[in-house]
Amino acid sequence: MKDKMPLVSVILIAIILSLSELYVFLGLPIHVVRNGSFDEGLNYWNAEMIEGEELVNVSLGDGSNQHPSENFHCPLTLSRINMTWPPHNYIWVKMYQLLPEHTLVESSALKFRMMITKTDFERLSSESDAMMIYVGFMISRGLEKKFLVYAWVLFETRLTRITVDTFNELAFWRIVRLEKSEQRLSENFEITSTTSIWKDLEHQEDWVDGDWKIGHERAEGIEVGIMLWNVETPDFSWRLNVYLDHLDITYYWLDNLMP
Amino acid sequence: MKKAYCKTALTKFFNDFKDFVSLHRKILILYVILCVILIPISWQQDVYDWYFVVGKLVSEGKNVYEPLNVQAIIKRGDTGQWGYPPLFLPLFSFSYIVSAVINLPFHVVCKSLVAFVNVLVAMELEKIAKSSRVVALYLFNPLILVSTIMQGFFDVLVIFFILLALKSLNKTSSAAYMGLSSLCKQTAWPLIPFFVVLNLNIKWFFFFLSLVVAGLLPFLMLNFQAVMEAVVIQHQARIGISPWSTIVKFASISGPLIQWLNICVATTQLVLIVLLAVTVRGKLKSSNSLDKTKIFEYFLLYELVSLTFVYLVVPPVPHFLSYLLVPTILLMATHPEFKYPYIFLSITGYVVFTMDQGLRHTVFHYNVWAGPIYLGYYHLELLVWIVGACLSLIMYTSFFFTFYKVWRRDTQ
Repeated sequence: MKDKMPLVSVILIAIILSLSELYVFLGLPIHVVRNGSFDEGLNYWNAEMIEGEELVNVSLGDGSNQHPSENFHCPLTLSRINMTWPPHNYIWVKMYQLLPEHTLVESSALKFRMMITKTDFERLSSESDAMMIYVGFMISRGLEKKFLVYAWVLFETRLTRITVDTFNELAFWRIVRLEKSEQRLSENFEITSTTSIWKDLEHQEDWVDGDWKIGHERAEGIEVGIMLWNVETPDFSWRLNVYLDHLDITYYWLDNLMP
Repeated sequence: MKKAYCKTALTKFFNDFKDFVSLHRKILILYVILCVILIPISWQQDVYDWYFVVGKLVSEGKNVYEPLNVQAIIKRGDTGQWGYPPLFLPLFSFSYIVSAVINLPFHVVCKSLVAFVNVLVAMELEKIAKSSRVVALYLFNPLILVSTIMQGFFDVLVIFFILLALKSLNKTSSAAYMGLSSLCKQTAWPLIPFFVVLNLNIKWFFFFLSLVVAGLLPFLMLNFQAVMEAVVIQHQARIGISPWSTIVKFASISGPLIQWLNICVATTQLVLIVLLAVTVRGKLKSSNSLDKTKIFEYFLLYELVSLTFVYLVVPPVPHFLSYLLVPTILLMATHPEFKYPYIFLSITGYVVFTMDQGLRHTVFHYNVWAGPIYLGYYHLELLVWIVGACLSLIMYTSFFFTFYKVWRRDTQ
């Protein structure tokens, strides 16, 4: 038995540690959900890097610190993204904002408008394999959470195809719509989209009707994100500036606000 | 002649394995039960997606050292480019083919292989230590359980070859085993000088180098630059430059100077490791070189110090600590004092696994874990760092305390 003491003690300590860690983790209120990415206490747009570490900077222009207005109309301008030699071949920048509690209703709609200048679009498409912009809403019903995503693939290559399965591993993600652009490089790149969130959700196979809510108290809101795949890194001093002009999101949750 | 030798070696291996299984029937049944429970419910998602993609590509005859951009999955395997030497590749492709044929998840097949190698390591440990207690000490150690049958790291194969090399230290066969371990993963590279300086003869070195070159040659011929980038440059952390670059970053040096500084750091690391190996050789020659325990003592110390040179501190994650754990278990058979490093190594690795690796890499795939997992990734980072650093200090202290105690007793 004396021979087995080190092993027995190690196993016992491991079990006690596991149980206590489990107790602590499960006992902690979960404010933050990665990939849903909302943070309690923040009521303005917040920028976050998921991949690319601190080498990629995001700065927000006009509208960056706007509190959500009563009519849930939140214009936003993402003015600039600087990237210097990203260590990953996958870059993900996002911004998010908490929203006052509101229930998803039949008239809930999303209006999205975004423009990238021709020069930036050309450079982005020549120096990376694929690019996607999305708008996501974190909603909940009781303990259940879903992150509803509207995504626009700006460009992709034959080998780097963005599909719904691309996001299989991301917690809570539900791709409601994935649109692919076929716009040519001859002009500024624009997306203008208005859609009924309710109708889009009804078309989902396993959608369950119910009292789905966005709620500040539960750290829920809206998120805008940009993903770039396989960014080429010709040398250490490589730098890329992306200017997104007129990124404008308007979303409605009440009947009388529908245009 | 060679055929007869192979036949004898195989017969001996099977007989040894049979004896081992019959002698440790209870332990092995318990181990199999643990594997059956733990293997299907846990795997290191990002790593195993990578292994899967690479295994698939290898079985399709593609060169995995070239970025293939197979599909845009948001994980390490998204380019399909392999970042280690090539010896793990046949295992992944074998697992891919078997999993497709028998319709089992890839990670289950792959980790079953890891579990089998684990049993082989336990068998070798018993042979070397000449003590049956090392089997349970190894197989049921929480650190080994998490890094092998839960996370599914193949480092255990590197360790197996290192054990065989240690067993036949003064023979040419040790060159073959070191060659094989070097072809598995860069983590074995800092250990090469130890074996080289203890076998200072042309035959050993030639044998070792031939094997390494032969293993890499097909890939180097296909695309020399891609192999060098994937194996050496991309995985700088594996050969030690990267952790030091954090210090370089703090020093606010930029431009080409950083590259020179990195080269200086790498050169200094190499020089320090060679000096360490030469010192160990001197110490071993002055003591009784036939004493196997002394060799393991010096090997463990060499491992600890050289990995510290290379990584700044030994990363307190299970698959790194297991390199230290195996010689520690061997030494426990002769020096009971090594139970302290055994305990602290195991606990350090286990705690860091549960707080960092387990959370960060989503080892368990249940909804109940989703919250704590993502909470852990961002919000426990500082805590993990502090806990890991404190536990590492305790671990180092326990090693040096043990060595002090054992050597003091030896000189008395």
